[in-house]
Amino acid sequence: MASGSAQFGSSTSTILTDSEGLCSVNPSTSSIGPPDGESSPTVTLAITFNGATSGAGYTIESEWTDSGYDGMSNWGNLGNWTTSTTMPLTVQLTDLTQTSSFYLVGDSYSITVTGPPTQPVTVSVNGAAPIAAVNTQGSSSTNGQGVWTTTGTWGLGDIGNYTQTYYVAGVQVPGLSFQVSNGATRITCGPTSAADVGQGTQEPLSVRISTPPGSTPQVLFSVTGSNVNPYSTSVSASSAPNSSLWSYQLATGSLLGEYEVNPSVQLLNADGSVASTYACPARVAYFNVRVSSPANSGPAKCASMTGTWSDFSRASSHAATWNITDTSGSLGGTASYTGACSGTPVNFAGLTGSYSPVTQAYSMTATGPSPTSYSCGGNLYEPQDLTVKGVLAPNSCGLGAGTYSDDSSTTSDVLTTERVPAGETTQFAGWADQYGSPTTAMFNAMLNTAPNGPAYDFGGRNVNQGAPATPPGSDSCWWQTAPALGYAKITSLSSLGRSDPWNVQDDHKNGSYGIDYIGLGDTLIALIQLRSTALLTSTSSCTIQFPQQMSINSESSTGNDPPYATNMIVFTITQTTVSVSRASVTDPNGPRSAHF
Amino acid sequence: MTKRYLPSALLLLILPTRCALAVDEITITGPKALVQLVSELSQRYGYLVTYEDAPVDTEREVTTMVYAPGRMDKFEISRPVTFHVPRGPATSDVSSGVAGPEAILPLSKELIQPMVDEYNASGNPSRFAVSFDGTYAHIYAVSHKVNGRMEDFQPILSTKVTMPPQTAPCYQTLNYLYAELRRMRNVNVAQSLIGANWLFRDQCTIVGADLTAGDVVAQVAHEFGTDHSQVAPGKELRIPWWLTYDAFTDTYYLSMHWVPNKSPQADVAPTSSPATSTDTPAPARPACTPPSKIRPDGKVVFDAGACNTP
Repeated sequence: MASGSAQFGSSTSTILTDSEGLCSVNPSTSSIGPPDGESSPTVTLAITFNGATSGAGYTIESEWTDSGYDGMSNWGNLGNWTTSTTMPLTVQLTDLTQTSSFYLVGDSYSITVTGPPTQPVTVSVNGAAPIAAVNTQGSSSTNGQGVWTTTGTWGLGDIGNYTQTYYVAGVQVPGLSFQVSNGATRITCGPTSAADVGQGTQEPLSVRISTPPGSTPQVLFSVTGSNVNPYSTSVSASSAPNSSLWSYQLATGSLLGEYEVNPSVQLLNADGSVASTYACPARVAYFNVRVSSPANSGPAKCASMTGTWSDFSRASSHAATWNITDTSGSLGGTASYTGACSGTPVNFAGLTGSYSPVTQAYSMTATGPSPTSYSCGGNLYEPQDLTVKGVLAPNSCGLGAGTYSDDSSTTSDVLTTERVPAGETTQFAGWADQYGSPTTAMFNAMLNTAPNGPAYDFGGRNVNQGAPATPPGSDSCWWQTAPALGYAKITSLSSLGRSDPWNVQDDHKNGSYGIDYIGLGDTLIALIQLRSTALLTSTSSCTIQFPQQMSINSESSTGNDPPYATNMIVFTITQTTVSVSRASVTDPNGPRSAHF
Repeated sequence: MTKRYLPSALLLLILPTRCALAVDEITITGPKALVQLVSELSQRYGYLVTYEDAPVDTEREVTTMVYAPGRMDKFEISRPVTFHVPRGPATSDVSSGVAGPEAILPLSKELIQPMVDEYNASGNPSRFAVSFDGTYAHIYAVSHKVNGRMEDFQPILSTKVTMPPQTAPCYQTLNYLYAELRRMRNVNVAQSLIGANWLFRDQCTIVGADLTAGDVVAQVAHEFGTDHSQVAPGKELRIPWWLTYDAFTDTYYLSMHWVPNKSPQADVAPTSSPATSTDTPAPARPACTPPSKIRPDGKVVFDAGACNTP
């Protein structure tokens, strides 16, 4: 059998073409061997996977036949192949402390080399023989992605000029030349100071700057709005003579939302021209400009009397039970009581009356008692129609005070049995941009009654939120240094605080309430996006979630507000987006793009 | 019997063996060990503890961590600390006769002081003291390292401030407080975790003169917890605050947290996880948050006598 690449022909043949386009074979660099052997030949194919990204997996199978197609093998698995994309050979030095054109003693830096994955990295410094480049993790090889990186801080012993030549798998990386100088010309920036303010007030910006003696500095504040409230300006700060504190009062009349401040220093020539610009590294500050949101709706009048009521203070012991259906203020239903002497049940055929949500006054009459008479203890009892009138108590829709029609001197307090929503329906109401908090979501909720149950409007009641024990919360955004921000792991509603109760409003359905503002704070969101170790890459995300238990004010004497729904609150944060969901309801437009 | 809980990589809680002197151990290995302890004390035991930091020595007590190109952080160098939280005698189920978990002891200075001492002896930044006002324990820094030497530190919230008398949205009140602290102490203070509903929905009125920043924060917390007295006495929310210092931004961050009622001082056991918080009153001895009120001089005071505490 002949060997060599000629067996494949001079061009890509049908045999060597993958009809699915997954790969191609270069016949000129493929071969068959062993030469002139009679044993099974070895076929070496140069396969290129088309458009393959690193990590794509292929299964390679083969079959063979002879030139006359006299025989043909079955398909056999040659093995599996995972492709890799070779990173280009690069080296980059980054000063992590400052961004001037100088590398200074005291600066932290990183050096990143890219090339083929899992290959040895060596370095030649100032022409010396290459040595293994061991990074801060103790590795002297590129990782699986073809990246090798190290970090460090230049000390006094590092002053000098450097030419560093890196090699990956012995292949030279384009060179790196730099100079480390001492701090005599050093410019240092203290942290930037900014503050949350109300719109229309002055935003106080300040930073402490140290510059070389004899230099003429000019300090600039670059103020940038988030993408939600785009804004960009650069203002020149001022300082008192011989003071290192530079400040500026920024008018906020046209600002609203979250802003980022970055200071920079310009060293000026004698003629006032700019000699050099120094961007203060890692000195970003954030501030928020806000306007007041309208107060939530106050207490509403009780919207409905639908329910089962008992008049419990009648002097006589035959207190009645009233099953009331309130239809737009017109009362209907049934009533009954148990005869005092004999225990005879007395049922009323009809119930009529009215209730005014405006005055909270009610009047209802039970008519058509049955039986019309009964004897007990030798006395004849003749039940009469029963009418009670009264007014529901302020701030309580389940308690009324009034009198009986047949005995105006006798009070007739009525108390309903506990009326609890069967649940609630959450509605996304938007983001609080108009109040200057673009990462705070607003939700409304509509209360539900049980299917096929009596229609009751919870308007006039109030609902509250609590932190139930289950289901447990979780927080993958938290990182080890977050406590410095007052940010402990958020696994419960208690981390964000429980607000005042919401007053349920009469919506002519079952009642609704809002707004439930749910947000972590715009500055904290910006700091999470900047610093959380869960968000190191542009594709990573983290989640904070915890349960919110909703309860309604009690109408019974126990005083314990009965819970009726548990909503999961979920924050999902990426480097550029925020999403908030309540009971799985979120912005229908998807995650909020919110970033700097 | 020893139980171990690992709520995060940072914490190790060892519940006690059943003996006369029950103690929980909480080991914290990350930065800001004391504020992390305060968080645990709040969530597990329902203790009302406030916390206030001092700035750290950026040259000696701060390290820089580079996570990825362009992603870095600066934070305090820390050493692990094991705190010991004392517990009361074991409760018992009268019906079954089975011994229950150890009770949560009443909050007091004597309860917290040994934990603060453990921190101060740990070699971590700053030195702290503790005080107790009958309801809240206050942990605050009293000295810190400056250029390598320990110096006394006046807590930021002890600064006298002048606040406008009008009623305003609470976020405005806090913004004004931050501005006052900048003016008086030349420090940067920003808002951290404070409930959005509190900030958007509540109005704050600061009363009194000769107030410290701490008085103002206490009044704001009182407002958040009582909703202008619409909340029934004994049901007002328990809201301690933290003022933490961040070396990366050289900024103090104010956060306020609602501490669900774990019935400290009642015969209940702590929860084993911060996630299992609840505001359900303790069955054995209903807990009571002393009603608070603001005196004309602006001090928030608590009526401990209103509670049936031991």
